[in-house]
Amino acid sequence: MTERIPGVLGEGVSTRTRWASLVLLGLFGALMIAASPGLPRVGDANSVPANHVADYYIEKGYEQTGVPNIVTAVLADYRGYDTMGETTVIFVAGLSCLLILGTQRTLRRVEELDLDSPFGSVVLDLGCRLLVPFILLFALYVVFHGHSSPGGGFQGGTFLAAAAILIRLVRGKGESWGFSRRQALIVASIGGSLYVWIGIIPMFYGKQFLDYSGLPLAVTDIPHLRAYGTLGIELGVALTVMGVLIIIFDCLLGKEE
Amino acid sequence: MTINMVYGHLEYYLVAILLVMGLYGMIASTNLMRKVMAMNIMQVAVIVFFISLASKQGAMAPVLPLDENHHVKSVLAHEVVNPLPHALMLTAIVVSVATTGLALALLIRINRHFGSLEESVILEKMVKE
Amino acid sequence: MLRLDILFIVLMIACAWGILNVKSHISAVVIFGAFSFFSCTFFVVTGALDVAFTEAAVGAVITTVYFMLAIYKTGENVVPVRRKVRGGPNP
Repeated sequence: MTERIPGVLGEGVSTRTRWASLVLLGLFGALMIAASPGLPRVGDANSVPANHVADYYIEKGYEQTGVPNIVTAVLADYRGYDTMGETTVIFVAGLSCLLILGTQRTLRRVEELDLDSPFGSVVLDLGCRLLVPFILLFALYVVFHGHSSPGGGFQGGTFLAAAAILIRLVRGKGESWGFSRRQALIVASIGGSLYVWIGIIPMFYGKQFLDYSGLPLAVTDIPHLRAYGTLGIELGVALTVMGVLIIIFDCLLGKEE
Repeated sequence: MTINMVYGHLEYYLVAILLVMGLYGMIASTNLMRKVMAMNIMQVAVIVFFISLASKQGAMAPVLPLDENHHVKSVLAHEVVNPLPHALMLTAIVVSVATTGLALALLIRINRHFGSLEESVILEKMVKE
Repeated sequence: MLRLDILFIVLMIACAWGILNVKSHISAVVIFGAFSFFSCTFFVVTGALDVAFTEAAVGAVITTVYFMLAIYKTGENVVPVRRKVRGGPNP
């Protein structure tokens, strides 16, 4: 029998705890349902959240920013500061995984297979070799075409990391084909600093932080210039997301360098 | 609460059920891996709530189309879905994958130290130390 | 009038029930991948294409692989072997 620990909700989950939590959660759910008449009807076009600010972004978005995909325009241009914070969050998560799991040698507590040798047969190996170039090409297409179709930096970065993960899954822990953990860390840092430097450079020309119309490119049209700034931002985000997802995968795998 | 209002708000009720299920899974699961999965269920439920708040009936996706001269058409605001919550939810999805990766790294460390992932076993060993 | 979005949320609730109540962890991860795909389809039906793309890439590819790796590393897929009792009849 386990002892009673002060401050913790009982030893394991007893029946009394289970019923108490069910009652409390039922009250919470009933409270949420009772508060829902204050929300607009689903699909209502005249509701308060759908007016005032979103109208401005939809109607003036293309002529001010030069990006037909309104979600990318909002994410990288109008709300670019929040996206910088989110890039910082995912970079910090990658660094924390390195701190937690990256510095110890793997202990063998469970009898495991040898992860250094390639797993599969000729079929898996050949499939991997055929697929990886196309995955990388599609990922770059998604990043650069995020202007005028659904896509953008996050999606492209995830697919780039997926290609590296496919290589590790098929060929074994030791193979990295140029995407090792050290290089992924360098790439993630380059992505983050690219974002911040695209924000700082307009300050040298008298504009505000993250104001893309101050970038020193040979384009005179302001929406065009802002579209180029958005492109640079998306590239930085893609590189950071790719680097961090590869770092977290390597830390979970227990690969030493 | 008339039937008309229930039908108009039905998605919000279902999202509330999903959220409560995720929360109950976090409280009542004894295995730590199930707790992390329940946390992910809660995150997806919140994202579904915001996206259903942003939908408009009969409206198109927020990507401006091209007309026959390959110029971008201008649209009216009430025929395009509200794009502001979409941008916020993209951030939320990326933060959720970062949190899941970090939680799994912590789980592997906990397992290495205590030897198992069951909550009762871990609490026993913590009392002994 | 077919309300596809309500149908997909109901399927997501069924998947969530499955995740919390199956015994094996690998089954829970597979059902979690299905849950992610149902949420991605809900986003497509509602018109949020960028969010659907991100959820499909992240939920089905990245998170499922991370969970499988964590299950493998913590040994949760290994069922403990019962020891044979000496002197008793073999099962």
